Amino acid sequence: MDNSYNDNLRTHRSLRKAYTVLLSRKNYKDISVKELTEYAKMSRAAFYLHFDSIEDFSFECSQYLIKKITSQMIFWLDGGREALDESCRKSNLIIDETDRELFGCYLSQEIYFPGKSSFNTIVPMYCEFLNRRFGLTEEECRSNGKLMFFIRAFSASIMDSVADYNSKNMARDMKHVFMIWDRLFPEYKL
Amino acid sequence: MKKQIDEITVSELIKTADVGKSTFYRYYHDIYDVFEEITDEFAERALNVMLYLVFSGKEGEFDGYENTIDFDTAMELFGLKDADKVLVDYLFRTRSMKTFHLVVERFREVVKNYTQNTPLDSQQADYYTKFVMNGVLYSSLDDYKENKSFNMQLVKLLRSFSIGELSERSAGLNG
Repeated sequence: MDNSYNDNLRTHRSLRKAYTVLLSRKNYKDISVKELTEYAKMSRAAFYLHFDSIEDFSFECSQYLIKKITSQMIFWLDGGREALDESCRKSNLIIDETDRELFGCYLSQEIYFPGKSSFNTIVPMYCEFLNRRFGLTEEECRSNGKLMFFIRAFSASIMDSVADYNSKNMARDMKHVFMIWDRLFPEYKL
Repeated sequence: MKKQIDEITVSELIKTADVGKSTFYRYYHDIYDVFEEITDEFAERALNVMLYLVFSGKEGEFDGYENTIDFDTAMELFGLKDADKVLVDYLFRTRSMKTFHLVVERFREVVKNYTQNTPLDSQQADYYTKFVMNGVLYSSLDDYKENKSFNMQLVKLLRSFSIGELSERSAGLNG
């Protein structure tokens, strides 16, 4: 069981790397499963074991990225200024160079998935954090308009600058975020 | 606006608008030029609406409204015309975020010009503005897609954020 889990991770990772290279060269609409699998040195059959189509794979990649970025953001929210300073000092990020490059491609080609929402990927992650820190239930979180607004605004404003993130920019932006949080939610101390 | 932008040809357009081909090419390079002009003009109007919502209007002007109102009603409330409704619908449907980013950027520029008397430094104000605008934009987008509604709470949030932090500047804008 453990081995197949790791195999899956490896497969996804090599496909992602291949996809990143291809996306930096051509339009996402012009990338075929054949090309992707050849580049990733994988058989098409193996690809189809995991994914229904190239669109399916592309969507999975986008969700992978969004989860990574969101977990970084929540890590900083949770840890406060100390966690942020430490990350910047050690240049130690959850989201690495390759991830950032791939994300950059998604942004610059304006790839999106009609009918599918990333918000639904993000919200449960924040609810988990809010539950852990402040004892809020998922129901309470989702019905809190200000909270939902914060999540959307935070995600959108960070997504913009993730692709060319350097630690100085991140630290600066997060400082503002803490300020905004304090203003919006004085009852929930970070 | 029943088609995608790349499906509309110049010939179709000039036929519908009853404009001659040479006249068209005197002003526009191609169809994207026209689209850009339309969206630029719309961005300008949207910017004015944003500024109005944030900095002017009477205190409590928007309090009488239900939390969630019909999108068409919201458009009328903000002074956007029928033609704008079509454009907004198109932009939301195709997620042409470029235009909305245009509005956000213009808003930030305008707000930047009045940084003298605010308690925030210009970087803070900049991020604040980006943050709040993105929040309003993406919330509106989702509300629109789900049930063609608009959440008036967003206006209240926008105002309370802006009037709170940026109010020293609003005097400059009205003056």
